[in-house]
Amino acid sequence: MRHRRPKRPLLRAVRLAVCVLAVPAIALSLTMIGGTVASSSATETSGHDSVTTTTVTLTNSALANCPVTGLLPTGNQTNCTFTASYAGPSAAYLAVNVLVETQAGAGGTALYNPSDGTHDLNLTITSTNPTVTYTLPTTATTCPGTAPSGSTCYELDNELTGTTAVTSAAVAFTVSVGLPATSTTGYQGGAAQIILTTHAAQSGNNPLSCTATATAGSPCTASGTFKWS
Amino acid sequence: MRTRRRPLLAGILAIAVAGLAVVAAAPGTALALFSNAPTATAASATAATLSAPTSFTATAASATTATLSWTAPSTLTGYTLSQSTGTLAGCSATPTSTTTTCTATGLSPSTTYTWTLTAVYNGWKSNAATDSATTPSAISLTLLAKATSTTSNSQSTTVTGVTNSTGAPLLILVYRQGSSSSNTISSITGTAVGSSFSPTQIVTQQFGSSSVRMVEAWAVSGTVVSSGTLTVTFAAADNVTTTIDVVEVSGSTASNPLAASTSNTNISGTTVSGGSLSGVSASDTEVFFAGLATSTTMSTPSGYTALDAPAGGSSAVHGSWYTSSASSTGTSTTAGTSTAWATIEVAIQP
Repeated sequence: MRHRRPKRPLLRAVRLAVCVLAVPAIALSLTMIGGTVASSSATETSGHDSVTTTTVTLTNSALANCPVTGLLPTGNQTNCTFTASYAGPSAAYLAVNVLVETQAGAGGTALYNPSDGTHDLNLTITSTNPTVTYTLPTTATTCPGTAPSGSTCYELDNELTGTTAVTSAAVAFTVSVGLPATSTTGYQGGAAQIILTTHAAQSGNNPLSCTATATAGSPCTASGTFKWS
Repeated sequence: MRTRRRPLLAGILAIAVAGLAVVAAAPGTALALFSNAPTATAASATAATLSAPTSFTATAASATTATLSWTAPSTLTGYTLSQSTGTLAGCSATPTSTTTTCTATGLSPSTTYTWTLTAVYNGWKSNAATDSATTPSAISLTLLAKATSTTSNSQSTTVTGVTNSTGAPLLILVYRQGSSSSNTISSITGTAVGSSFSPTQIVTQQFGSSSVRMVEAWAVSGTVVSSGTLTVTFAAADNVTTTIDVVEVSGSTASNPLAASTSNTNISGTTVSGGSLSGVSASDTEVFFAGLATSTTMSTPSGYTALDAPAGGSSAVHGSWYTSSASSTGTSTTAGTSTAWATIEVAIQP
């Protein structure tokens, strides 16, 4: 025991250093969220807990975002595709928050208008692997401070990309926007931003549990020990 | 010892990560959770705004018509067009995307109309372009009386039975075939001649040498008269045949409603053309008067109304017609042998 005593402060110092270094490492990675990649890592094992490496990226094949301008009521859709990738030694559930910020233009009516579903922006969000169509938010919520002035916001959180945990996945989201030919003149000049926020919650000792039946493309409100960040 | 320290270390790690709002794990529990949340503006959609048609212009073309024209915006599937008063006619209420002009018809004289034009893209409409035009008063021409003289070598011809109930100005149309070179008019007098302005020659044209044919138009002030007289005196007494039409010009607000005109002559053929007069307002009414040497009949030009239809069988026929649109073109086809002819056209100001 004596010969081991000198090692304890060293071990604590090493462990503390790991912790101290872990914080700026994660902080640095999160500053990239506004770009296309978010990643973080930490390693610790124990009989009960595990926190393992995760990498979640959200990418567009060409652009950081996908502006679709000059929409006319043609009935045609324009697609923007993003890929969220997860890789880690521990399986995880993936989910996405859907936030729509919308503004009125010269026509006077906000472009995304769930109360007028046949004339407003025709929005669909889908993903592959597996094929999922996501529920669109229809209830107005408080807009984030970053939303453009005059915005009305709609948000629906924690929509499952699937109901099974995966250790490696690339979920290709397709956001499709267009205006129906029957769109009415009030939507002229309107705008909308569709913001996706992806989650990767490692399953480990964290089994998926929702207040309702877990369904891909639908929100999962965490219950029991399962928690979304 | 290690077993006791692990929850502490895990808790430190959890707190460190929770500080970045990505972990919701309580230290020491049987829960391991790690997640992060990259955010991206996945797509932004901005709807277009339709541009309105530009240079939208309404111009009265006559007492009952107006021409509408505009420049198309870049994006549209069509238009909507409406008229402030009455029923839109002549122009479609939904012009096609390639239409940039049309003529509204069925308008009332001396009335202001406003037309509203919007570009359309399916269910969308642009801002409206509007313009107004006031139609001129309706010009009405009425042949009050006429006289034909075949008295040889007479120097004047008198028209009787001229009744002018309003005192409107008069248009005097003269066709004369003489035997010498001078057929000019020296005076117009009579009880039907008013005093607000002096008789004014508008246009004259003649052809031939040994047998001279002349067509001529004069403006004469009118006066209220019943069965009055009007005498045209020529510079020389060489009459073979003279025909004088006394035409009432009503509806004009001009003191002298007769504007300058144009003429043609000495062209052999079997057709006589009337048509647009250069320099004449689109709202002017046009009178087309023709005299021919040896024709037997003359048809009414398309778009014209006959004032004095020519009689057949004469060696010196003439005809006069008018149209409510100065842009009308018309051709009178003659029958028989027409060796030469002369025409005059007179524009009447609203």
